[in-house]
Amino acid sequence: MSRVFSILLFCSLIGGVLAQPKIQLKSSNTSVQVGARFKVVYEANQECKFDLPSSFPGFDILSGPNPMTSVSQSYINGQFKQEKKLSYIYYLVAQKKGTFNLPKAAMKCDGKEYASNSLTINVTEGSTDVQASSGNDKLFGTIKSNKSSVFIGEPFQVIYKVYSKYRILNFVDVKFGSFNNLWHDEINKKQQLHLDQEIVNGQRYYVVEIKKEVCIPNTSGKSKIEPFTAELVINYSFFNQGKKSLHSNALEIDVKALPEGAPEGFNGAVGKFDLQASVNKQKLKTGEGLDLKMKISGQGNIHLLDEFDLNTPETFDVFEPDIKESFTYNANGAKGSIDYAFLMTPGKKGTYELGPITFSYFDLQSKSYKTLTQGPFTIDVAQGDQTYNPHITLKNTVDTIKTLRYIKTKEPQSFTESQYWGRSIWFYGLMGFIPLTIVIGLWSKKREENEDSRIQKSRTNKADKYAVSKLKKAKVYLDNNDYNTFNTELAKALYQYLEDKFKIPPNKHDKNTIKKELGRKNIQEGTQNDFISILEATEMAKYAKMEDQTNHQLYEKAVQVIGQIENESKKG
Amino acid sequence: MKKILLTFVISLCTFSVLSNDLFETANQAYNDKDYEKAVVLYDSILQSHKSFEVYYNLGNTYFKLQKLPEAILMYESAKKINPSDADLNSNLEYVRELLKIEQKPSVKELGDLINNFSTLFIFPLWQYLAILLLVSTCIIIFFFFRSNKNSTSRAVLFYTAILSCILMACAYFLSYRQEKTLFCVTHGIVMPTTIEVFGEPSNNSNEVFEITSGYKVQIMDEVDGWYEIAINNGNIGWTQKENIKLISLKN
Repeated sequence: MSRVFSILLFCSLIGGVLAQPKIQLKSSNTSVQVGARFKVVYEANQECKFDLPSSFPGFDILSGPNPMTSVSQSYINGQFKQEKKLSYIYYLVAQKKGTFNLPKAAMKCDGKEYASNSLTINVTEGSTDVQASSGNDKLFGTIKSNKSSVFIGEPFQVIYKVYSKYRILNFVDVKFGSFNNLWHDEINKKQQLHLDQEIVNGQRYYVVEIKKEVCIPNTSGKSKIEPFTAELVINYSFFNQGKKSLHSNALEIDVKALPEGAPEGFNGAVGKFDLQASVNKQKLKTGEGLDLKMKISGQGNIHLLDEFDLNTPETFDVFEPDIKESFTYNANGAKGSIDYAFLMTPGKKGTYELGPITFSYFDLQSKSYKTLTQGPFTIDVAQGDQTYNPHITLKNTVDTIKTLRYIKTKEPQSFTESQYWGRSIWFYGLMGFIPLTIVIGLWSKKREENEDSRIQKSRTNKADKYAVSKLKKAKVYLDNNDYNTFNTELAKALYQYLEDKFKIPPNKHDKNTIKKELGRKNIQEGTQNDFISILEATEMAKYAKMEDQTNHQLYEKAVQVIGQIENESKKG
Repeated sequence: MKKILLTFVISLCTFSVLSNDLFETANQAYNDKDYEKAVVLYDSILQSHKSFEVYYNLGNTYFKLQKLPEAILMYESAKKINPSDADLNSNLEYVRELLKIEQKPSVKELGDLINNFSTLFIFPLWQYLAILLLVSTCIIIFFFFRSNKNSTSRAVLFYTAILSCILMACAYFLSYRQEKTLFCVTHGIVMPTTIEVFGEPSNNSNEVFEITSGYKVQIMDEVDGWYEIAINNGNIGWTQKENIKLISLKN
């Protein structure tokens, strides 16, 4: 395509003036028969963007669009002239009778759109009878049946054939039509198509049997087999071969309903059949298995029969039957047999009649209904071991699953929506307690500390008062400026204090004992040393006179130390 | 403070007080196969008290009256309160089977897991637990701020306060989720035999799909007289409000 385009481009460069873009639709026939093949061409004079139809209503596309390009150049009267022709070719087949429009094609050149014309095709009914009668047709297909009128369920045979004047080399494509209300299957299937010869209307034809089918209608009325189309390669002469397509006739079969008066239990069987039935035992115990075997054999629509219904006593549990089918298809339908194996277990003792087993069919030879009967079988059931009954226990468990569970009877728990406070002010109010407790905690801590220090203060005052009362005598001498007596009195008072408070006897009034005793009473080291230093100072004052001021200080210090000892000893 | 305590005590009392006599009378009516009477009695209990057992029994009663969509509605309400009850799930499945509804349970997500966990306690218990933990948190915090610095008990108090606080948050969250699962209306049940679901909230619009009675649908939106509903396979459409009954524990 790109090569075509480049040639065109080259041509247009050297070619000069381009003609007005134009697209045209042409058809080989304006009137065709159903199934006939014809040619449709969209022709344009310029390479543009084409918008071609992808489907043709009323027609099948056999092939296409097939592009074709031709360029012609001429030199006339000193003028160079070139003409291009782009064609898109379709091969179509008419599907049904009627008048159809072939759709327009469009092309877009330099932004402008051009549309083609449209054509009307008149499609006429193709002749259903063998086309060879017209004499001039050298290739045709036929669909033939061995019966023109059948009953519902009656098998008939359909043969598809292709006739040709010339030798048929190869089939390219064969399309079979659809079926209405028919069961069908291919019979005598061949690996290879066989070329035969036949004389039709005094002329020799090559014949190929494409397919042979057996069909069975399932509703009354007209049953139609649609035509088939085939495309094949034909050898006209030694050097001339060609592709050709053909279209066969349609086949209509008249389907009659079966006559009235069908026996009870008739399930649509048509043909010729035989029935056999047997039981494996006639005496058994409850819970044991009983096998009923049944065989329907014969020829006809045996493969299309509905399921066979078996009448059994109510107390018998019947399992799904084991069904074996074996048949082959031929022109008269299916030939073979269906084996049914029923397994059943009686649930109650007693004597039962199993059957009779009947099978009805429509006999094609005598054109009448026939009924086959087997049995009835008399079965004696004795009481068996109760525990051996797997089927019944299975049933029980199935039943328990399928019931409604009982209502609740224990005292119900209940609530109301109003019980929820999660979104109410109460809950958030409670949340507010967290910071509040922090504040309260901190505040109460502070208060406690304040209380502590206040108690401390009042304690100190008390101790000081005590100390003052102890040193009352010494104070009197100090106020009278009698410092010698003051010192002796002070020492006496201090020793007296130790004796009263800590029970230290006078004979142990040495420094170390005092320190040890005070230490034992949890008096701090600094306070101990202060106390000792005061005692030492009073001792010193006996030998060296101190200044007045120092005596006053000594008194103050003594008061302080006693107060301190008081506090510390209380705390401990 | 007194008022709060009073409310607390009152709600604690109402928690267990339910006319058990009424419940037993209703059960008796059910056993006597007087299902109409049982419906009236169970309904009267539900007017004031929400209870799993009552919803479940009412579902059974509707089943006996062959009102299967109503039965599903009641079972779904009961399922909000206790989603894991074996009897309930068995009955619900059975009714769905009878109505030929094949509704696959939606995929379990983390949210469902939390919701299931939140239904571990009967309704306001998580909330009471949260309040209890809140009070204990307050007390612990109070003692923490009172304690002496550098004392060992202070560290213990600090960590217990944090733990208690976290537990309280969890309990509050669960109570919140439980309230939401119980009282938020998210789904409804289709009541008529079949309903047409439209593309727009109008009778003139195109029919999108049809659903049959007993189907559980999610309520997406509402416009006067119409619900926008979604079903499990992702289809969404509008239908008239009277076609849907909401699964709701509200009166």
